[in-house]
Amino acid sequence: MIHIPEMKLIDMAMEKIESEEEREHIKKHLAICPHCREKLAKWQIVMETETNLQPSAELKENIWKQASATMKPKERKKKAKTTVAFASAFIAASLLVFGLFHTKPHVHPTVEVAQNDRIEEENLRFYPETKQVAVIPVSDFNHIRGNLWMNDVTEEMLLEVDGFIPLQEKDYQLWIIYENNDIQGELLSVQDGVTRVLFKGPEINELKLIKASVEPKGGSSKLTGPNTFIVPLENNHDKENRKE
Amino acid sequence: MDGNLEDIRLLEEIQQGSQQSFELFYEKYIRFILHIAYQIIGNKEEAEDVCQEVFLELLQKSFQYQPEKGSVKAWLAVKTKSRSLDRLRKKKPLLMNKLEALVPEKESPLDLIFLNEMERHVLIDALNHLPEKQREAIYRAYFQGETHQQITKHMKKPLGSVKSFIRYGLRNLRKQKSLVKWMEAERGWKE
Repeated sequence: MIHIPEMKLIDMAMEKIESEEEREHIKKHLAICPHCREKLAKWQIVMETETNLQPSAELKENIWKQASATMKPKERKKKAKTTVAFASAFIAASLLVFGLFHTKPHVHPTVEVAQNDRIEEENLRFYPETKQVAVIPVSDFNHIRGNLWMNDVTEEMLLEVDGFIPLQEKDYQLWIIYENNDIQGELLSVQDGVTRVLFKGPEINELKLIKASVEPKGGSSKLTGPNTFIVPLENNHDKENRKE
Repeated sequence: MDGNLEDIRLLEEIQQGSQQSFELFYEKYIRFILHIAYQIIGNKEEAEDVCQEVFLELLQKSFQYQPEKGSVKAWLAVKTKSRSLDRLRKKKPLLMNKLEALVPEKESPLDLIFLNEMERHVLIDALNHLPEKQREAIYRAYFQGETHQQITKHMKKPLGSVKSFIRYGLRNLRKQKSLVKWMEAERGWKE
């Protein structure tokens, strides 16, 4: 079962989903999915609770100072163009699908991703149900080595890959590909040639492939560069552990 | 979704360096982000640090936003939850403070919200110094959502004992928290 993305549940909790058809689709899913029901209930509590907290006077200035310091003018322009292109493409595609063809709203799965320092100490490798899958390097990236540990019970996967060469005008990007061919892209954060990525959530049971490629600086909305490695997952899930 | 298109436009303008758009976006969402972070962390100063992280992250990674998954506001909420839980994982005294909210008469539905989404081992570690039965009773009651009756059944103990495990467990938790605070003060605040 593919769960409703948390963002949609939050919009539902805020009563911000305008499409009647989409609301009905989510309601039908909620009727049979305790996992999403529980998540929605939590967000409803958060939204309904009121606090009179006011941010400190200096917070806005601190954030702006840091943000503007990390964004060079050229990068700002380039990133903005990319964002405009992505956002416009998404909006155009959404309008086309929902407006013209009136197809059933498509709910995308999402898996939570944390990288390197953001990963809390994990013991995934030591759990008895954990499986290990070797990373397969591709073409010009034969020096890349790594493993993926996956546990369908704790709904976690850990990817560790070594051998990345620093790139000047490019970034490494991870592609998380679901069984229904949905694709989630994440920029890979590489430290000293190594990257560690922790994936969490029931959606890991819906993944069929993970791969990485070289993409333009800041990431790409679709795969353009050469692949660096792949990790096939489709036959490595414990089907009996899948949640209803 | 007009409001969402407006948010996307603001994000684009911020990336082009518009301080005015940043201020509009900030005023629109800072209280929302602060509210969520505070509900999860329970400490205003730390919640403001989370606000800072979330704003910086979304300004630097707005290309990751996917409108078909939900609104910009919902995206902010997910990011805030994630960063808040990260903070609780990294700063044990904060997590201990949250666990203190387990005192039954003080508990509100929000006190423990999302805590059960943290890795089991982080929570167990935070409860590590409690005697085994107290730890189990507390974990079952507050993170597995079991009723006292269900715990009685699982632990094969009478209701009175289960209530005692929880009561003494909470008392020990407070002692443990003082100890952790003292240790952290001795070696400086741990990131």
